[in-house]
Amino acid sequence: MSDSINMFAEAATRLFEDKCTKAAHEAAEAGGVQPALWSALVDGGFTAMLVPERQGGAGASMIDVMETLRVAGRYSLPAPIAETIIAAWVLALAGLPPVQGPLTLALGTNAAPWRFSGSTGQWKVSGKEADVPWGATASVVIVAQDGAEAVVGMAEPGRLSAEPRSNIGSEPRDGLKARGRALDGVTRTTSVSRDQVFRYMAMARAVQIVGALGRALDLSVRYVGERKQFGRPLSKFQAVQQQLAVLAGEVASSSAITDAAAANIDSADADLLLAACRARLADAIDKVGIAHQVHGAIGFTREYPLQLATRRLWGWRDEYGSAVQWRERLGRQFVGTPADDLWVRLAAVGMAGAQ
Amino acid sequence: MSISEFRFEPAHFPASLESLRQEIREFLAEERASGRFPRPDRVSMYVDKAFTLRMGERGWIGMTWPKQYGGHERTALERYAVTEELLAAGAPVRGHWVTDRQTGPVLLKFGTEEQKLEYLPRIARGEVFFSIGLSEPDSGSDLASLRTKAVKVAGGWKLSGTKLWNSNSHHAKYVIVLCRTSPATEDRHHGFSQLIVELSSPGVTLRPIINLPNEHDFNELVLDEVFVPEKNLLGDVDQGWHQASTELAYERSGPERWLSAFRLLAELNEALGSKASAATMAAMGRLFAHLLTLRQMSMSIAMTLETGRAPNLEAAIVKDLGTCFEQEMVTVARDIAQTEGLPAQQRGRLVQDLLDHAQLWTIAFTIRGGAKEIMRGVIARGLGLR
Repeated sequence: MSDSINMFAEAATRLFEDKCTKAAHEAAEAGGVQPALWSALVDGGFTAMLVPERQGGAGASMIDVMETLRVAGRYSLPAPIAETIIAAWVLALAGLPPVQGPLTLALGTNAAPWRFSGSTGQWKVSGKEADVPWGATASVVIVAQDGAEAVVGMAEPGRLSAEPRSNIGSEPRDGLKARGRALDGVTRTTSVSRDQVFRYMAMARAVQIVGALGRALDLSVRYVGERKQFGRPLSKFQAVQQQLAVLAGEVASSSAITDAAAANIDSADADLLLAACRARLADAIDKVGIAHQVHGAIGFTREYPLQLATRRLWGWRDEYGSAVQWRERLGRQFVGTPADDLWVRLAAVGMAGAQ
Repeated sequence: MSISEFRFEPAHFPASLESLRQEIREFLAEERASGRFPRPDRVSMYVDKAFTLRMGERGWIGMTWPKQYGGHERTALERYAVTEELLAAGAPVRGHWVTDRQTGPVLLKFGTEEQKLEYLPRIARGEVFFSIGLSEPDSGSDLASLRTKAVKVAGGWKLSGTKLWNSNSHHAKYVIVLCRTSPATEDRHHGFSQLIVELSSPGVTLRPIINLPNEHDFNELVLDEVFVPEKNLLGDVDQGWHQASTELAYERSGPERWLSAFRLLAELNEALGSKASAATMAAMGRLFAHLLTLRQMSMSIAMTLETGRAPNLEAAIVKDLGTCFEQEMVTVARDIAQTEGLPAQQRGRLVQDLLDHAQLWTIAFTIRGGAKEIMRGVIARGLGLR
């Protein structure tokens, strides 16, 4: 059990506990990011936490970010906090001016990357991407890889054609499209790469997932302690205890592999551990039905908060790499290895950073 | 503290362990090359007394014990690394495995100086095995209901009762029997003692019980007024329950809970070659994800044990998840083998043998060392549900 307390995570817990009310969630689902919530995130230093101090940010570490986003996941924070933190960092490293308001990232796919053309002062962007978080309403930081350099462009809200959609968790996941659309802020950089940004976002979703899984378990434990049937709390039924023990094991596993992946996110083993992490999390999410089962009918309503966690989990499961893609990616790393070498290779995972 | 804050400390293993791993890998490769232990075609460990003696010579039994008792004063993490390597290779370590893992630490903690000097050096050399006498015909998961009883007599105890599911006792010289020495008080765990019984003592009868995979591992142990000398009392009278429970974290959290059927995964992985379908790659990747996760948790507990804390809750989680994973792995492996047409091919034969053997053995995984329902009860208690 970890005794270390993260300062950012602690501040985030206080803020989110206060701000992530039922009303705030309902307002966000009806009308997007709420200005009052956003100001609180900006004032708390969260949105620019990864931006270096000399550029006006908090200069936090990636571990600080992941601990904070874990709390955001736990409180189902209805705003693009992960996207903004990473996008603001990309802008800062690329040397582009900071942008007010919510940010998001358009990273394209390997098959369909964004394409920039032109040169300084006359940049244009083309491409399309589905499911961009808050893509229609946030400022979009577009990242494309061009050999050793990344091309980073900033499109203010409304600059790209948008087709609003949302994921199963009612979070905006909008289609974006551009054909030769002119952009003002574009630059080339070797300070970041598209794959690195993608990896950070995949990691960010992982910690959000762990937070939401913890929330689902906590709500369940609390509920079965309060709810009485047959003259005793549900928690006293072995059938209920055994089910929640299974869910607790899933949450503990998720936490363990996610902590390992986060600790190695910039090491040579980053991709392997991230693949293992995201593949493992999908299986944990597939067991979150236990939380609903022990809640009975109340968990099947929109008014009870369990759905805020579980609907997001089902959405996040396949974002920034689907479960199937992560599994296949991990499998391809090892399948075919001779029997006596397999263990040697597995045992080396995570040792890249060992002293 | 809410349970969602329940976290395994991330494992940071020192790089110095790598040279030890290298050492044991070379030893195992040599053993294999010389034909002293064949490429495993089954998942269970078996007894090879000569192999155990060579392990003792290399200093890989009693690794963490003090040198004065024949140990080697290495760290718990070093011992952990060695157990991983042995399991992954399918080495024939059954003879000394439980003695090294459980008996040694219990003797060190509760044994008299005389007992430590008498037993530990021989265990560390690989010469002597102990078996564990806990379960009885009417006492399985509810161990505290056991009825084997020791009555005080001049110079020692007279022990009577029946122990069941005694693993490996036909290879062992001694068994540590948990028995009643006093009636239960309000605390039903009071009044148990641990006695060291020499299996060749008059009144001891062993009956073999053949297990599901058709192997002789289990025995029934009948104790008929067996005289046990005073000096064979382990620890304190009536405190045996507590003593027997202290090593649970060692027993439950180790890599044997998720590497017991590893040879199946390894041989399947090789037989698949690099041309397997995307669906198979994904199915295998999913298994690797579970394995790597379990390893993180297991290593984390090994680090905690090093600090002297007994993380029994965490250990129950690893045991439950690890054993369930290995059972599921067999099912997934069977389907993968069929999908990829392995049974019809020469290279699929070994996989098929391992599959059949694992199918039978993995049934035991969620029962031995504490049934999964008991593990989940421990976890539920940790959640505050009971």
